[in-house]
Amino acid sequence: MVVPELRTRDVVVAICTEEHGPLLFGSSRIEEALLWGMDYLNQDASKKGVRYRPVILRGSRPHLLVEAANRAGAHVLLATVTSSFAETLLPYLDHAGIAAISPTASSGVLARPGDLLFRTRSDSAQDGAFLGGMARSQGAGRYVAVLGKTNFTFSGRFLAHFREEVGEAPLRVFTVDDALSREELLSLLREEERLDGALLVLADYPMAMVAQQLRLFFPGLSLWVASLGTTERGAMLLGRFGEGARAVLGASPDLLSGEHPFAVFLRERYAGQLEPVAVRSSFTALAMLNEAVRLGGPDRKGVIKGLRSLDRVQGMDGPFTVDAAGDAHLPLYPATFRRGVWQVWDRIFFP
Amino acid sequence: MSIRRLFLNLVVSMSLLGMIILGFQAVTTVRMETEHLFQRGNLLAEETRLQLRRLGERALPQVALLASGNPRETEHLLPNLKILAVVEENRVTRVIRGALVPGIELPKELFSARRGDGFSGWVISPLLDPRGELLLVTEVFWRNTPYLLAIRPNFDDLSILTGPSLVPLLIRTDGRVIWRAPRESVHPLGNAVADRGILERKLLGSEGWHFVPFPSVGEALWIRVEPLDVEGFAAAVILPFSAVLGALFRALVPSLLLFVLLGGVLLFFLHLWRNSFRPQILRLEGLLRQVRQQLERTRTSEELALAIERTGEAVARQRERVTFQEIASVLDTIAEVFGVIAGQQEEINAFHEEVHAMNVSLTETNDALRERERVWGKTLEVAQTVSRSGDMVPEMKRIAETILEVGHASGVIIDRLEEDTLFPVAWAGYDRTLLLAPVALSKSLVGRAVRTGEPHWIEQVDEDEEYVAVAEGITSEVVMPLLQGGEPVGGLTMSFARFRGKDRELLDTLVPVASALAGFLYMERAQREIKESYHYLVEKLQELTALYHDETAEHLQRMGAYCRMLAEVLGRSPEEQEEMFFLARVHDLGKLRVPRELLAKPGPLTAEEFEIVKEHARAGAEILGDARWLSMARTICASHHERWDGSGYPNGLKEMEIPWEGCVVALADVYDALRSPRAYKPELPHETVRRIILEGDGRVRPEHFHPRLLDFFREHSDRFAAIYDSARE
Repeated sequence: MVVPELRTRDVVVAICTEEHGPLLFGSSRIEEALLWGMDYLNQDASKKGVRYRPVILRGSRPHLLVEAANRAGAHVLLATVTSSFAETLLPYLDHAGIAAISPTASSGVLARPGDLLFRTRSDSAQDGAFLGGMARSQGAGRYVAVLGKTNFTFSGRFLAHFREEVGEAPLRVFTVDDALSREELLSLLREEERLDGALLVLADYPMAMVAQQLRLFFPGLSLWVASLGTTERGAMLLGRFGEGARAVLGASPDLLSGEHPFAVFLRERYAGQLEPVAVRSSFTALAMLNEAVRLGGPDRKGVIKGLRSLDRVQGMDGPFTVDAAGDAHLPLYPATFRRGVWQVWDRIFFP
Repeated sequence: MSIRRLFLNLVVSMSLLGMIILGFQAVTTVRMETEHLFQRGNLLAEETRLQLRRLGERALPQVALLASGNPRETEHLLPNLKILAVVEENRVTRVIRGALVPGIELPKELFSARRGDGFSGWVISPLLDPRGELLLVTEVFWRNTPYLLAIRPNFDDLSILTGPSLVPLLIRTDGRVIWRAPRESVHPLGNAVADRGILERKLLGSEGWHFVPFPSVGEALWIRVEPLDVEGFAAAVILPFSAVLGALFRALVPSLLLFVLLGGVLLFFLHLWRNSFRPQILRLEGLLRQVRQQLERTRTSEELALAIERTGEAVARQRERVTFQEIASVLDTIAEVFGVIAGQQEEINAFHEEVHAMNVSLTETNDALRERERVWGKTLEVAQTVSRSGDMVPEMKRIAETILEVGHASGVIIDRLEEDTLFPVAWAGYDRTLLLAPVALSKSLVGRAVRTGEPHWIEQVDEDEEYVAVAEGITSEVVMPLLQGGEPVGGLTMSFARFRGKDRELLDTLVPVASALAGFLYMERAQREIKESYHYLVEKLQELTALYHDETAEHLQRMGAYCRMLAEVLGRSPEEQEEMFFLARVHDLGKLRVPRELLAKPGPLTAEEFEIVKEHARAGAEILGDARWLSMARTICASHHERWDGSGYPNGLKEMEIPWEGCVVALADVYDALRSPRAYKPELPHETVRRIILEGDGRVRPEHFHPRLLDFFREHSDRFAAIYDSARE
C-alpha cells in the first residue's frame, strides 16, 4: 500500500528551449511532450509527495536561460537544445549549481562524467555505425552522402561512423539545405552506372526532397536514412519513393500504440498525431528526473545527487541504463520503409 | 423598544441591507464582465473566420500575376506565399516559389480539399514547410492549370482581441495548435494550454462555451471551439476561470472594501456602544428609573419638591461622569425639564388647592342645597299630607325632626302664638321627657323674633338676657318668626349644644320652611277653631240626645272615660283617645229618630219595635252627616252595636271587620248599661256585671266583645268600677 505523503513538494522544472536554433521544430515537439509527461507524472503527485511544476524558458543566450531558471526557482533544467548550445550551457550550470537533462543534445563530445549535463542519448552519431552495418550487409560500396548544412558536426561524425562500418568512403558528399541542386543531380547522373546507394543525414523535409530526387533518377538506389529524418512527416513526404529505404530508428513507430501507461495516457488525452521520437526522448528525460528525485530528493542538490546515482531507469520501451557520464543508452530499432511507413524488424539493446 | 435594541436593530438592518446591495452589485458586475469576455471571444472567432475568407479571396488574382511573371520580379508579392507550384495530380511539374523540386510527388492529403476547378478549399498542413511550420495549402486553377499554393498565415492581427482574460487559439480539428497569441500578451493558463501543443480531447468538446477542469495546472476554464472554413481548421477561445475570478474580484473589491469599511464602522460603533455609550445610557436609564420610583412614591407637593431636588443632584452627579456631549445634553435637558416640572408642579399644587377649596365649597353648597331640598321636600310632603289628613301637629313634628337633622341642631321647637304667649306645638330633640312650657312673647328669644318679625342668630345664648332655657347645655340658638300674611302666628327655635356661628345658608333654608310652618300653624288654628265648633255642636247633640231618651250627663261622662281607657288599651294615639273621650257620648244620637214611646216603653219590645230601635245606629251616622271632623262619631254610631261574633247590628260585622271605635264603645256601653239603674231594672253591682260580661247571662255573652278588650276588662274591671263610681248618677 502506498502511503500518501503528508506534504506535496513542488519540483520546479525549467524547460529551456534554444530559440532560433536548428531544432526549433523538433524542440517544440519535445517541449510539448515534456509537458505531457509532467502532466502524466503529476497525476499521482499527492501520493508521491512530489509535483513537477514546469516553467518554459526560451532564449539564445545560455547564461540568460540559466539566470531565468534561477529566478524561477528551478530545481532542474530540461534543455531542449542542440549539442553545441549545450556545450556553452555547461559552465553556467556549474556556476548555478543546477543540473540539466537534455533530450536532444546527443553529441558524444558531451559525454563527460562529473558535469551537470545529463542526456537521453550518449552519442547519436554512433547510429551511423549501425546504419553502416546494414549498408555493408546490402553490399554497398559506391554510395554518396547527403548531409544537412545545419548541425554539420553531427552529420560529419555520423558519416564517419557509417563509413567506418561500410569500409568505404562515399563517392561524393553533398551538403544541402532542402534539396539537391540541379548541378548536383547532373553530376550524379554521370556516375549513375557505378552508384549503389545514398546516405541521407538530413532532417525529414530535405531528406524527403533529396530522396525523391534521387529515386527519380536512380529508381533502384539504396537509401540509408539517419534517424533525424525518420519522422512521421518525413515518411509522408517520402511517399512511394522511399520504398526499401533503411534506417535505425530512435523510437519504435508503434511506441504510442503500446500498453505503456504514458502511451495510454496520451491516447486518451489527445486526438492528434504525436511524434514517437519526441515522446520517447521526453519521457526518458522525465524518467531520469523522476528517479533522481526519488533517490536524491526534490531540490537542486537532491536532483543532482539522484542523477549522478542513476544506473538503471524504466523507460517507455523497457529499462535502460545510464552511464557514468549521466547519459542514457536506449534501444535502437532498425527499420525498412515499406508502403509509406517505417517497419521495425529488430531491436538493438545497449549493455 | 429599548434604545439598545433599537440601535442594534438599526445597525444589523443597515449591515444586512449593505450586504444585499453589495452582493447584488457584485453579481451584476461579474455577470456584465463575464458576458463582455464571452462576447469578445465570439468576436474573435468571427474575426478569424473573416480573415481566412479574405485571404482566399485575395490570393487568387495574385496567383495569376505570379504565374505569368518572372519569379524573381514577383518575390515581393505575397510574402506569406511560401509555395507556388504547378502540379499535375500530386506531382510537382513547375516550381514558381518555394522549396520544392520539380518531379517530386506530394502527399495526397494536401489535395484533400480539391474540388476540380477554381478555388479549392484550404488545407492546413506542416508538410510543405522545411521547418515543419503549418501552412495553408490550396489548389487553384487558372487557365486550366492547377497551381498549388501554400501560405504562411499571419493571424497576429487577432492579437488585438486578446487580453489578460481571453486566449485565442487557432487549431486543427484534432486539437493541434496552429497559431497562438504572443506569450506575454495572454493569460498564463492560455500559455499552459498552448504550450502543450495539442488541445486535450475534453477541451474540444461540443460547440459553444463549455466549462472544463484543467488539472494539469490546477485550474478550470471555459472554452469555445468554432470550426472555420479551412479543412480541419478551427478557432478556439479560452476564458480562464481565474480570469473570471479576477473579474469577480475586481468587481468585488469596491464592494469588499465598502463591506470592510462598514464592518469596521460597525465594530467601532459596537465597541463605542459597549464600552462608552451603553454604560452611560444604562446609567441614564437607571437615573430615570430612580426618578420614576421617587416620583411614584411621592404623595405630597413637599415630597415632590424633595424628589425633584434629589433628582437634580443625581443628574448633576451623572453629568460630571458623562463624556458624550449628546448624553450630557440629554441630562441638561432632563434637569431643565425637572426645573420646569417643579415650577409647573407648584402652579398645579396651587391650582389643586384652589380646586379643592372650590370642591369643598361646592360640596358644602351642594350639601346645603341638598339639605335645603330635603327640608323643603319634607315641608312640601308635610303640606301635602296635611292637606289630605288635616292633622297638623304630627306633621309639624316631622318637620321639626327634619330641621333638627338637617341643621345638626340639638333641638327644634315650633311655637304657636296665642295672645302674649308662645305655646309649643311640636318639637324635636332635647330630652324627650322634657315637658316644654309656654314662654312669654315679651321675654324670650323666640318672642323677640316674633316681635321684630325677623330671625335672630344668638351665638351665645348665655349672654342674652331674654334667653329662657328650655333645656340644659344649649350654646347657640336660631329663632325665626312664623308669619302668615304678615301677621305672626308662631315662632321657630333651633338650639345648638355647641357653638354655631351665623349660617346664612341655613337661614335661607329655613325661610320657606318657616313660611310653610306659619301656614300650618294658621291652618292648625283654623282647624282647631272648626274642631271646637264641631265639639260644641256634638255637645249640644249630646244634650239633646240625653233629653230625648233620658240619658244622664253622668252616663255620658262615664262613657267618655271608659272609651278613652279602652282606646289606650288598643294602642290608639292620645289624640284618638281624647277624641274618643269626647265623641263616645254621641253613640246613641240615632235614637232621635226612634219614637220616644219606644225608648220609654217599660216592657219588653216586640220584634218590630226592636227592629225600629236597631235603626238608631244607622240613623246616628246619617244625622252626623259627612263632616270630616265627625268621622269617628259616625263610626261609633254605626258600629257600637256590632258584636265580635257577628251577632250584632246594623251590619252584622264580625271580628276585625268591626271598627275599633265600635268595639270600644260596645264594651263600655254594656258595662255602664248593666251597672246603671233603669226603669225596667235595678242598678247591678260591679261583680255581677263583671261575671255577666265575662261569663254571659243569656243576652250578654263574652263572645260579643273584642278579645283584647275583654282580657283588659278581666284584668282591670276595677278601673271600670272606679269610673262608674266617680260619676254615679
